Amino acid sequence: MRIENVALLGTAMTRFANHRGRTIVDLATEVGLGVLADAGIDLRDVGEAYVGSMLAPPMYGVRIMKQLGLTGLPVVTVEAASATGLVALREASFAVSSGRADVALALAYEHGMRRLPGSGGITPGYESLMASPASFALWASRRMQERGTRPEHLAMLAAKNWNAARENPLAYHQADHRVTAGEVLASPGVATPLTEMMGAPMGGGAAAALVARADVVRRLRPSQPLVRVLSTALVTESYDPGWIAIGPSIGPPEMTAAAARLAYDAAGIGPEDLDLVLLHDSWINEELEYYEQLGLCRVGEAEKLAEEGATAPGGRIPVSTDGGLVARGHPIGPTGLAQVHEIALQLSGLAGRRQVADARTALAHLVGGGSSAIVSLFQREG
Amino acid sequence: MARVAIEPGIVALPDREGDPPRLLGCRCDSCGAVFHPARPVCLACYGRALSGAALDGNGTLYACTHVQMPLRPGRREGRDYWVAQVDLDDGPRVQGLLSPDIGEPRIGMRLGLALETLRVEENGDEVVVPHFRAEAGVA
Repeated sequence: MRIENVALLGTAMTRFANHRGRTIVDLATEVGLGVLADAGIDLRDVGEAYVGSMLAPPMYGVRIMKQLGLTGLPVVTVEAASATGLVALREASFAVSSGRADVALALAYEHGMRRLPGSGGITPGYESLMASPASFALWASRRMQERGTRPEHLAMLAAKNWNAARENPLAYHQADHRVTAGEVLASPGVATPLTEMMGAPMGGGAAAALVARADVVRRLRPSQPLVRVLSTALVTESYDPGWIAIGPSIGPPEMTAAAARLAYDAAGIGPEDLDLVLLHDSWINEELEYYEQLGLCRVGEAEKLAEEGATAPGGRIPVSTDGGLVARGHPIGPTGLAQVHEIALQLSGLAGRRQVADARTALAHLVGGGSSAIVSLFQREG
Repeated sequence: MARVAIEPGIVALPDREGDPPRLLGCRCDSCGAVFHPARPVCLACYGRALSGAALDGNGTLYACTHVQMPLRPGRREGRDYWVAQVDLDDGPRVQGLLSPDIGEPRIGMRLGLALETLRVEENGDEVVVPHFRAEAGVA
């Protein structure tokens, strides 16, 4: 769906890490106050809030917002597993584009996989016997069969993302040396052909974004380029005869193509217009699938795109400039808003050593367990 | 002591030990589409009339992975395991476990269904799960 007249007003995130000794409320409060400070406003200027997490207990969203003030604003909790952050931004954008709010907040937080009291345990049912990484490993198994993908392709892309994170002080992984594909291949196996260094760490953290009517953003941030939210598309699984009921944590990769098509059409742009992409690499073989599903290359050419270095820093279409899920980290709820934070920095020319030269148009993509896929497009004016 | 399935609606246990188990599913009365497990509405034609079906579980291997990560609750300790996607002769593609004795599975190989004991409860009940193994008589 096209988003009319909405732009980013501010973003903030904590480092994604194991935040021992800090509560989910501490983390959410830090980014809530951080994003308001970034925009130069306080909660009295915010019309609606969309807050989210996958693992926090009930009521946390509304209670966390009290830390920022008591203005009576409507607060809606969003949960879409790994896609939560981008879905929260989608709803905040609609709150503004519909005219309900001049400014809306998207905020997400997570305290890692450590279960909070009262949230119950994992039922040892049939589906839980198949560990979640197996879902993605099965995609990789099939791709190796059909396309001749080699473990080296996966390792090369994982190393790209680990090394991108070395330029991002808020990333979970901070390698003290240039990571090589050989190192990735040699890390402990998880589910063939995937190794530990090919998968995203959970950790915890929080991230937030404010969106507002374009004229409000221009008034509050006159010296910064206007970064518009162009469009967003959220889909869930569609049936085809290869659909699998039990086991996969995520439906087929083609969900992403469906979301991308809708988002591109609504924005009136195509993949050739993109300057950078943030995508869902919870396991690195997803990155290859999504190159094709997002239209960064033709179907069957993702390995070639990777081999050419086209998606590495300085390449034709840099992917996961902040380290991606594999290395920036994937605390689940906040991940999408970390992507939006990176896009805001890149499209404002504030990304420092990882800046993509003259970045103007960016795509954020996530998939969420259940399952769903979301693609959102952003563009700097001028 | 009795054998019990890991959860209802997944697998029908045979009355006699040694007979093959069946995967529980349904067939659409309108368009014939087959699903595992049973479901309330047909995904192909949205028909509401679906009849129970017991699927023999024979099929071909579509994709597989050898899982080496720490085991999930309920899984026997100290065991890595295989997960596979299988195109059933009856129609649907399903995901499930491969027999620990699968050796070196090959995509496209023929598979059949068997039961594996997951654990023995304190009351002596054996909790079983379905798994796929190389079809009898097929290398």
